[in-house]
Amino acid sequence: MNRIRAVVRSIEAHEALHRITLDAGEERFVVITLELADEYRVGASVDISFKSTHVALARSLKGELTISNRLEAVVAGVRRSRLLAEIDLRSRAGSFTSLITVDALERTGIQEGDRVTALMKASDLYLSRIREA
Amino acid sequence: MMLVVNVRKQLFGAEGDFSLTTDLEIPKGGITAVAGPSGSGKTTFLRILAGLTSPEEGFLQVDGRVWFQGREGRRPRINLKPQQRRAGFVFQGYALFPHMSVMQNLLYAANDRDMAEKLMEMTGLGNLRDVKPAQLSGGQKQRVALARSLMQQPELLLLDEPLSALDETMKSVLQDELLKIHRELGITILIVTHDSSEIFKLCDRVLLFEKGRVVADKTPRELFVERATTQKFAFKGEILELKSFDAIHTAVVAIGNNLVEVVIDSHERGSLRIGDKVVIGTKAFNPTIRRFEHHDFDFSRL
Repeated sequence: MNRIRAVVRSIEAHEALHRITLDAGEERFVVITLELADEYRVGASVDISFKSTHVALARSLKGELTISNRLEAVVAGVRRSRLLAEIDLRSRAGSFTSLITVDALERTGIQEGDRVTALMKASDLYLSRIREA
Repeated sequence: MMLVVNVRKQLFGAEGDFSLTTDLEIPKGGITAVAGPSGSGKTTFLRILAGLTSPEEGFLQVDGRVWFQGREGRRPRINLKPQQRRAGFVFQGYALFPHMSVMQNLLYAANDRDMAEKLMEMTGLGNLRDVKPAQLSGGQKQRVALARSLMQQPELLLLDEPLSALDETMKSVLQDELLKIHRELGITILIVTHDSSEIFKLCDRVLLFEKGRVVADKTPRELFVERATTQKFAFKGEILELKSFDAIHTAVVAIGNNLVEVVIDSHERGSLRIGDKVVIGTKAFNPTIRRFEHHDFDFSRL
């Protein structure tokens, strides 16, 4: 599971639904979730978590996209297997990985050192409160 | 305030002695779940309310009337006998008189034929009035026990795992009947249960006991749905198998009697071992839902 440390910037509620914006480094994230416990409030430190399978990658991205979260990242490593490849990424918000098909890897020509855009839907990210040890 | 209970009682547990200590107020007319692991003091708590066990010290008041008041090491100033307390009690076992009919079992609690007729009607026992307990099913026996506990028109109904011996279908029917009785009689109910769906369906409040103390006092929704993470779909399980192939890794996890397979990443693969207790979860947005079909495997058949 990928984890990125962030601070809650704003919370917008509509009945049980919440849209939360967060700051991580200089990057902005948006998360959509149902009921929110009281401890998630503006200024709280949280971890944004997401699976590698929920991260899409784009090279030379152009045009309009509905995906709320896009992160500029550098490819730090490519571990290619037969059907799938695990891509290590570094961004201003932190490091994370993306799991993509080898077909997609070949089609996009992504390789180590490339600049890419990582794309995550707001409903694929979840939050957990950081507990002080 | 219906119930004020501020008591202390020494208990002897398998992992050492501890004391049951409560400081609670429960308003009139609700259904409160009493939950927590075995040996955490739940049944003792109910027995203290019913007057079947006395605390070392404390204060118990129901609807303005003091049922118990006492200080450590002295004879209690007030300690009403069980029959002086307006509390009905139903246990997991049915505790019916085997030689008496359904009607006689009810009349033994209070000689009030009109009340007995009304309660038999309410619990669907109308045409079983002359039947002896041995001829009744588990669900019917528990209905008789419930009706009998209501004969003296208690203010407080204490239920100690009343439905845990019944199958899922019968359980669901009796839950609906309990809600109906609660609606019609407006009685205050405390129910010991481990069943989360029962708590969610019946109760407006949950007291979670641990080693004699109430460690959580919340609504079922707060306890079950508003979790520490924003994942709404999370279950505790145990890892049974870990595998690696291609660029991924998988874990087979047992959740209750169900087995599921989850894709994990290489970092997780490195830190997990077979037998580890884990929580598998996802957001409420991700799971899909469809009707159960005959070709789906039903783990409850095992």
